Formats: sequence, structure tokens, C-alpha cells
Amino acid sequence: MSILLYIRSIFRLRPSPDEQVLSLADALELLHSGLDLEDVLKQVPSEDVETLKPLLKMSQVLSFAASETVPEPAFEDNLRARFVHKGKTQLMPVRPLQLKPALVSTLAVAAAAILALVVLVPFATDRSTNADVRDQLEQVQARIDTFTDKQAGGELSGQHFEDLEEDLDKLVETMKDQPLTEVEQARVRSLAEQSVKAVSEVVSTDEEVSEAAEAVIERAGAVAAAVNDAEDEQSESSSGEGDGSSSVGADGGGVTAIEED
Amino acid sequence: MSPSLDEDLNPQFDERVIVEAAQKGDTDALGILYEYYFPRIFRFVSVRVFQQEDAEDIVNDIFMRIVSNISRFRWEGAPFGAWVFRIARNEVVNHIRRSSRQLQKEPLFDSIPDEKRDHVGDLEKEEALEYVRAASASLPAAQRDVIALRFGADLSVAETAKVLGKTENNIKVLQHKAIVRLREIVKL
Repeated sequence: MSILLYIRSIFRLRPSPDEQVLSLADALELLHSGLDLEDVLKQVPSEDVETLKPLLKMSQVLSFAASETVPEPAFEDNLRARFVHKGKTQLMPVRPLQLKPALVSTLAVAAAAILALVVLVPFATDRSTNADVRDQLEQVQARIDTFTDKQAGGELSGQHFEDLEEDLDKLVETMKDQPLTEVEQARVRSLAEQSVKAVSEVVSTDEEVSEAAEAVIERAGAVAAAVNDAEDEQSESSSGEGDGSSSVGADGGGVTAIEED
Repeated sequence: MSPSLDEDLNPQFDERVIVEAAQKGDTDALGILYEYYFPRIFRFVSVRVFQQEDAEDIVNDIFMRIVSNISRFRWEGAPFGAWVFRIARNEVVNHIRRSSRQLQKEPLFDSIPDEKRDHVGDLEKEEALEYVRAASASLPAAQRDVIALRFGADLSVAETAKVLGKTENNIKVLQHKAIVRLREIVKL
């Protein structure tokens, strides 16, 4: 062997620190690309194999150690829920619920019905309070309270809209079968007002939420209409006392009119 | 390390679109970001922190910080992933700083067995993993960061450089030093 080759072989066997750094980095990239260790070693200079092999094995152990660390599923799910919820509540632009024109009309009718009750000549009766009506009124009140609490806590879901909608439906059905006292009618009026107010305060860009809110407001309108019907029937049977049923038109207002009540 | 390293911080979805939607509170976008980054963040933290409870606390804080600050992120210079991992690294550093008193009282080095012993035969799952983690913890901070990002979070050299604000050559040198040192400890 010539002295020159001897010198070269020495340099080949002992790569510089910089060369070692780069060789390892290149070999790791090959490992990362999906090659197994033996295939990677076939692609590096033979004089580097002895140095690189234990380092690449070490890197595989490190990767294995990291991959073996698994989070608790409950922790992962819980954090996901909080992350998304916080993002939704903090980042979503706040704007008033957008109501469709037709819905605004419905709302106006509901408001008109409520205001009509206020200006109507009282038609008090001494009927005893019916248990079904009382229970349903309390059920709706509880549902509104829950809705308001959940909204304040940022925990409002579609189910809360559906529950309120369903209870308002039941209230309308109950009112069809049962005559209401003046007190009960006032309470129905209040519940309709509270329902409209509660869902109107929900701010969301979510189309599903808007639709759910609209559905509740429609039911509140139906409740108010049912009160009007009951009032009409009682007006007819009480010598036509007052003309309030037509005293307030559909332009009686929207949410604002209700709040001014 | 997974074979999909080249795709790290370069996800299949259009990250810019997803991040901009998340910045407006879009729950689907937030969910996508979470699903993508959670496993990487968790592994990154777990490489740096021993106790699972501590790791969970830190990961929790990281994601809360991400969602609190995501509206301030701007597409200028570093990619979103680098921004995320800077937050992660800062949280880990803060945690270690807070608990430094305990660490001084109970040095992690105690858990590293005698270096002269050949431990290859001992590398059996749990004990071996704990051993490797303890060895990693004995590295200087810069080397630990590189190991955690490269082998915990599966970031490339270039991505690790962006997260740590160093050159790629710096990262390669730190990586080499760390692996050589770990190999000396573990005697692989």
C-alpha cells in the first residue's frame, strides 16, 4: 500500500466530526423515509457503518420509547371537548341571532297577542286552577330556567331547544282542552315572553342553532295565539266585553315590543 | 420514528384554511387541529417529563394556551406547527423551572444505572423505556429539546430548527451529540 493510500484509508476510517454529524443526519433521514436499519446501513459508506450502527439503533430506541407513551383516552377526549368549547366560545364572532323575515312576522304576532292580553278588559273567572295546566306551566317555567342557565354557562345544546319547543307544544295542547283563569293566562303570556326572550339572546352563527331558536319562537307564537283563542271564546261568552282582540295589530313589535311589556 | 416524517407539520389538509377557520371559532376546524397535534404534543411532552400526570397537566396547559392565542397567530415566517411547538416547549420549560427545586432534591440522574454496565440485555419494555427517558433527561437542555422534537414529536431537522430558532446545522450537531451521549449511557 502506498503511503498516499494509507493516509487516505486513515481519513476514511476516521471521518471528521462534521462528517459524522452529517452522516448520522443523512442516515436518520433514510430511516425516517421508511427504510429499515439494515437497508440504511447498505447505503452509507462502509467505513461509516461501524460508527453509525449503534447510533441509529439508539435513535430507534428513542422513537420506540416515545411511541410507547400513550395518553389515557378519557384525558384525550376531555381535553378535546374543552379545547373546542373554549375555541367556540372565545373565538366565534358575537352577533345577534339572525331571524328570517317570516319569523319576525311570527314574532310580531306573538308580541301582539301578549300585548293584547295586557290591554284587554279583564275577564276574570273564579274557576279553580286545573292541575294539568298548572303542571304544564311549571314544566315550561323550569325548562326556560334550565335553558337560561345553560346558556349562561355556555352549555347550551340542541337538546335544550328541542325540550323547550316540546313543552311549549304541550302547553298549547293543554290550553285547547282546559279553560284558563285570568292568572293562568297571564302566566302563559309571561312564559311566551320569556321563551322568546331567552332564545333571542342566543348569539350564534351556527345555522342549526338559528333554526332551533326559530322553532322555539314559533312555538311561543303558537302559545300566544292559543291564549288569544281562549280569550276570544271567553269574550263571546261574557257579553262581548271589550274589543281588545283586534286592538293591537301585527305591527305591534318584535322582541323589543315584548321587552317593553 | 414513523415513516411519515416528511408529512409532519405538513398535514394532508389545507392547514391555512383550517387555522383561519379555527381562528373564527369553527368547531370542526378546532377539532381537526386538535386531532392532528395532540399525539405529537403528547409524545413531545412525555419525552421531557416522567410522570404521566405531569405530562397531562402540561399538555392541557399547552392546548389551552393554543386556543387562547390562536387568534393572534399570523402567517408570517414560521409555519403554524412551529408556533404550536414553541408554545409546547415553553410550557415544558416553565414546568421544569417550577419543579426545579424538587428535581434538585431528587436528581433524575439517580435513576440512571452505572454507565459501565452493559444494559443491552436489560432493554425490556417498561424498565428500558424508563431508563431511556431518564438518560434523555440527563442531557443538556438544548439536546433534550432536539431529542424531544425529533423523536417525540417526529419533526424533521428543518422543522425542529424553526421551532427552536436555530440553523439546521445546529440541530444536526445537537442531535449527534445527544445520540452519542445517550448511546454511551445506554451502552447499545
